[in-house]
Amino acid sequence: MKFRVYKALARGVFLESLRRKDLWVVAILGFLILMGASALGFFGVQGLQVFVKDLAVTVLGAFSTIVAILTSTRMLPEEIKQRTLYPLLSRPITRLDLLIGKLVGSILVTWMSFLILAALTALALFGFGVSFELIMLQYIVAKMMGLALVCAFGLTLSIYMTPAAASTTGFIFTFGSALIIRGLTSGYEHAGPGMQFLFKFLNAVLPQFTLFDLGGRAANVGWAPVPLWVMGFLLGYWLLYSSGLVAIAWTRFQRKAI
Amino acid sequence: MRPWFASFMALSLMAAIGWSTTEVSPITNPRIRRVQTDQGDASITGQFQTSVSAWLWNYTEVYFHNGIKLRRMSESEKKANGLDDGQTHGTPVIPSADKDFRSVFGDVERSVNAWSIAQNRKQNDPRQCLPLFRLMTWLDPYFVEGWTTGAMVIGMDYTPESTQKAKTFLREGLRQNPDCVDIPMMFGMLEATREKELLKAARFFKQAVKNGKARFEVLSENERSALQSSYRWLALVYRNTGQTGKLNDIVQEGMQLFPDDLVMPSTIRPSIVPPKDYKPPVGVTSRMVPK
Amino acid sequence: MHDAIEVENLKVRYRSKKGKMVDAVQGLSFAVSPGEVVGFLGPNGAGKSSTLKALMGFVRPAEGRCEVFGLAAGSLEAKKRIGYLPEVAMYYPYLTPIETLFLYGELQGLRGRALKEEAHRLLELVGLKGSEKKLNKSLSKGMLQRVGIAQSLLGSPDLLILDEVTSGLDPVGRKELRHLLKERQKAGATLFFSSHELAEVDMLCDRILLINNGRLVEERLMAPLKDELRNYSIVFSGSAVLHDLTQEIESLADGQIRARFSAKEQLVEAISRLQTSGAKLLDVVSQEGSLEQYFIETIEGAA
Repeated sequence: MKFRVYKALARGVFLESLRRKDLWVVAILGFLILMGASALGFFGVQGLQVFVKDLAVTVLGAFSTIVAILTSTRMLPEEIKQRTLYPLLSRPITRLDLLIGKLVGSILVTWMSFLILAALTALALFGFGVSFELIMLQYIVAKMMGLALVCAFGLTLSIYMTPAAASTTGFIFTFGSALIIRGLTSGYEHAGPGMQFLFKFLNAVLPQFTLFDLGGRAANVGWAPVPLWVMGFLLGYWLLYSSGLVAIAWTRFQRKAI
Repeated sequence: MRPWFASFMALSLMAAIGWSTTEVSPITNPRIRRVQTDQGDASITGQFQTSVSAWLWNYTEVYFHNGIKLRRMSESEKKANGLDDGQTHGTPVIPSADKDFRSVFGDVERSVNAWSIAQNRKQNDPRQCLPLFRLMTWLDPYFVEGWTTGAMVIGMDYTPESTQKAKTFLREGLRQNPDCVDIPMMFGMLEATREKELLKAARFFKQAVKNGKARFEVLSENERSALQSSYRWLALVYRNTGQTGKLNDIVQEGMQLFPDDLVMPSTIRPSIVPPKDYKPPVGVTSRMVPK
Repeated sequence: MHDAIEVENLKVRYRSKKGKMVDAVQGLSFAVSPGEVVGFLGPNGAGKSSTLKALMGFVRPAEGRCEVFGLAAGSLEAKKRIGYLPEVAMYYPYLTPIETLFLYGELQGLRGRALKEEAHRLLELVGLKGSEKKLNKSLSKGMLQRVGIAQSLLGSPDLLILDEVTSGLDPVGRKELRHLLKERQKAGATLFFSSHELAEVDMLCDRILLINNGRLVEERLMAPLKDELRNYSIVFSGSAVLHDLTQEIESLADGQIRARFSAKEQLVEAISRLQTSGAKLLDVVSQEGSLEQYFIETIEGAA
C-alpha cells in the first residue's frame, strides 16, 4: 500500500523533472564533458588516461551533487509556494509518506542524471582506451548511495530553511565534507579533552559524504577494489543516516502549518 | 536555472578552448593567442585559464603519488619521524589508523580513498604528466614554473632526442617570457650539462642575469634563487673556459647581490682554479645523473 | 449517527511575519449534518480558509475540536471520506490533467482500470474532454479550476469541502458546477463550501454560516432567511387603515396608494382589509430580498 503511494509521488516528481528539461540540461553537460575530454586529446593522449579519469570523476561528482542539492532543496518549498501541497495532503496519506515519496522522487531524478553523465563519461573514457575495472563499478554504486544521502540532507534542510539557504548549506556540507573531516582529524591531536569530545561528537553527527567518493581510487592506477565490508558499511550508513534525516525533517514538517 | 547556466558556460568555454587549437599532439604548444596586457590579465577568460593551469600544477603532485593526497609534515611530525632536516616532507592528508580518532569511519575513509603508507613512497613516472605540462603552459603561457618543470620532465631520460624536445619546449617558454630568469637559467643548464656547449650556455646565463638584475627588487623567491644559480653557473662556465677576468667580474657582481653566498667565492679560489689544459667533467655541480 | 462536520470552540493561531501571534479563528463552533449543503460566508480575512484548513488537518487548532464523521480532522480515515478543493487551485504545471488525476487517484487508493475510467469520466464531467493531455501550465485559470474540481470528486467522497469553489469559472462553468454539485447532493454527499458569490450560495445552500473576525456571526437556514428578506407591495385606490401594518405608505399619481410590507402575514392582512373597506386592489408585487444587503448589514452590525 505504502509502496504505491511512494511510487505515485516519485513518478510525479520524475515526470515533472523530465518535462522541465532538467535531465536534458544534464545530457548537454555530459556532451560537453565528452567534447572537453576530446579536446584534451590534442595535447597528447599518451599517459593522459589517469588525468582524464580523474577529471571525469571530479566533474561527474560535482555535477551530480549539484543536481542532488538543487532537486532536493527546492522540492517541498516549491510545493508550498505553488500550493500543490494542499491537494496532495488532502489525500489519505501522512506527511511522512509525502516526505518519503518526494525523497524517492528526488533520488530517482539525481540517479538518472548521474547515470546519463556516467554513461557519456564512460564513452569518453573508452575513447581514451581506458579499460573497465571493478573499482569503477564500486565507484558508481557508492556514488549513487552518496547522492541519495545528499538528497535526504537537502530535503531535510529545506524543511528548516529557505530554499536558497538550504542549497547553500547543502553545497557547503557536500563540497566541504572532506575539508571538515580533515579539520577534525588534524585538530584532534592538539585539542584539549573538551574539544576532543566535541570533535568526536561532530564526527559522529556530521554527514560523511566524502566516504562515498571512490573517485581517487578509481581514477588512479593499480588500486584494488574496495573490500565488501566497506561497501556494506556504506550501505548501512546511507540507510541509517537517511532515516535519521527523514525523521528530523518529519519532526518539523508534521507540525508545520501550510 | 542559473547554476546550470554557469556550469554550462564553464564547460563550453573549456571545450571551445580545446577545439580551437590547430595542432594535434604538438611537440611544443600551439601558438598562444593571448597578449599580455593589463586588460588581458584582468579578463575572466584569462583568470579562468590561469586558475585551471594552477589546478593542473597542483594535480601533477597528486598524480606523482598515484592519487594519494599529501600535506606538509608539521615540525613535530618531522621530529617524530626523524626527518628534522630542514627540508619539507609530505605525509598523507588522511591520517594512519594509529593517529586517527575516528575508528571505523577512519578505516572506511582509508579504504575508499587512494591511501597507503607504502604507496606514499611510490611515485608514478613523471613523463606521463607531460600532456599536463603542455596543457597548463598552453592555458597560462606566463606560468614559468610550468615551462621549467615541464622541460625537466621532457628531458629526464637523458637521450639526445629528449634533450632536443626539452630545449624546443623551453624555447617556446622563453619566447613567451623573454624577461624571466628561470627559463634562460634552465636553458643554460641544459646547454652546459647535456650539450656541453659552455659558450652557448654562457649566453643564456647572461640573459638570466640581465633579466634578474633589471627586476631585482621585485623578484620572487624562486626567481632570486634562479638568479643566484645563474651567477654561480656563469662563474663556473667562465672558470672552465679560462675567462678569469670575466669570472672575477661576475663573482664580484654576484656577491654584491648575494653577499652571503658561499659557492660563488669558491669558484675563484686559487686552489681550485684548474690548469689551462685541464678539462673537468662538465656538470659536476648538477644533481642530475645520467642513466 | 455522527455529524458530517463538528467544530467546537475552534481556535487557530498563526505567527505573523513580524513574529506576532495572530488569532485567525477565535472559538468557532458549528455542525453540518450529513447530506446538507452549507455555505461558509465571511469577508476577506474572516477565518474561512483557516477553518477549512483546520478541517483538513493542514493546521493544528490552538484549541478546540474538529471532527469529520466523528473522526479526528486530518486523520487518514477522515481524509478518505473528504474531497477537497483548495482556495487557489494550482496543479503541477508539467503534468497533464489526466496525469494529475492519476496521481491523486492513486494516493486516494484507486487502482488500475477503475482509476483510469473514473479519471476520464470526471474530466468529461467537468468539461475537460479533449484537454486531458495538455500540460497544466497551458490551461486557463478556469480550466485549472475544473481540474481541481475533478480531483476533489475522485473516489466519490461523502463530504466535499470547497474553498472559493466558483473562482475563475465563467457563467457557463458556474451553471455546470451547480448542476454537478446538486447531483452529488442527490447522491447523498455533504457539501461545505466557502464563496464570495452570494448568488451561488443562494442557489445551492440549505444553510449558511456567516463569520467575521474568526467568530460565528450568524447561522441561518436559507428558506426562512429568503422569506425574511423577501418584501411585498400592493397598489390600491380608495381608503383602508394600514398604518398599524406598515409605515411605508406612499401616494402615487391618480389617487393611487402604494404600501410595502416586510412579512407575508402583513400582506395577507392588508389585502383582507382592502376587501372589507371596499378599496380597489390594483397590483400585488413579491420582491426577493438582497442577500448581499443582508450580508453587508450583518457583518457591519457585528463589527
